[in-house]
Amino acid sequence: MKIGILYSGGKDSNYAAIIAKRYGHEITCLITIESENKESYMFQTPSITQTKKQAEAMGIPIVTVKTKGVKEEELVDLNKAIKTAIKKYEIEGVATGAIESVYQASRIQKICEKRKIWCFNPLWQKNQEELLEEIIKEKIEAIIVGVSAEGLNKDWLGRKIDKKMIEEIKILNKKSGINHAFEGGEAETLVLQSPLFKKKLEVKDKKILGEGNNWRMEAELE
Amino acid sequence: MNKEKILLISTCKEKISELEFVKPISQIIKEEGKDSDVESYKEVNALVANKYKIIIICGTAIADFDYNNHLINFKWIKNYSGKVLGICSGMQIITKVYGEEVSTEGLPKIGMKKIIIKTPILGLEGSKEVYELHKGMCKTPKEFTSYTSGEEAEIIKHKEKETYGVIFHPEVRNKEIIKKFLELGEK
Repeated sequence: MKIGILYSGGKDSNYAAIIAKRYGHEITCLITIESENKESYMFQTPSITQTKKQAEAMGIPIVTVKTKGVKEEELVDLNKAIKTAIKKYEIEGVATGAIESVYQASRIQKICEKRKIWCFNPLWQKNQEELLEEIIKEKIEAIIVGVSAEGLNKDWLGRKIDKKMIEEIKILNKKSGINHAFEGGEAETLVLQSPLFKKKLEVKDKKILGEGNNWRMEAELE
Repeated sequence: MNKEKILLISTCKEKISELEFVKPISQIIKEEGKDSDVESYKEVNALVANKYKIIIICGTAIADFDYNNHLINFKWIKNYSGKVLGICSGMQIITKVYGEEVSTEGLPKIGMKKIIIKTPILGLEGSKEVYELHKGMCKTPKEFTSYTSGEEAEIIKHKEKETYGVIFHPEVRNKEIIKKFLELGEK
């Protein structure tokens, strides 16, 4: 089946793309929403413009739609993006990296239902410790580009997800309940390399913005 | 040997959907220290089912109705003496096997919903928030009792057998239902 990946550039949507391909689906496009609202409930925002470079690295076209990121209204823009992907890239379904968020998953399901296409969430309800370990095993190289939780600070920005980090996250999870896979928005990631990338990306330039426990990195990849 | 294992019947046409609708249930079973096997709706029959004492018929994607073309593979449910739990499309299959209607005319049910449980069942009582993802509105077959208020059947149980159906997805926010159902197998 021809599908589009709802793509944030982070570890989960990249892993969902790998799984979709492994199950025989043809990824005809990526779909990214660029939100002006940095506090969006629906969409990742740090370094979101870099998805174009990631799409290029994969050799897959990308549909990008900008949104003001107003709660619920931003779904109109997601609907628009999916509609474009159906028309231009003939997608019959989308795959997402949703794991636990009923808020995000149900809204995407509603749009897919309305547009009469399939919705696949291959990471849904996945054990989150296992997920992080699989990310490493699958050779997905991801760095932290956003933090927003007690126990995380700007020193985490730019760090690669590796075994050492997983151990630190396990401790933080016990101490302050941080979601292992960061799905509660505790941290956001940016993938530099994955088995679907034809070339590895590197951070050419970066801007660090924020305060307190709320920091983000706007990276420029090459 | 299989009598110790739980059979999960996949109703997913697309194999990738099993990661979303079957794997979370096998994960709960594993956490409870038990094992499970998975069989497709295209392959299941009385011979397969009778090898197991506990069966869960799992849900599938909201766009997926292919299992309706294979309902004949589920005729064994009426004569089966073990314990069965049908989740979403699984409950719709049970409803149809017992000759009752499943309407797909109404609006899709997607997201969290509060249900009111009239009589305690599978560890649920009072009001509960559940995650729904379906288009099929089931009527309660005459051999079954509906445990929730409202016209649509949301939780049903056979009046004489341990055959259950839930229209929502307990693996998302109500895992205790699956755990409770597994405990029934120990009795």
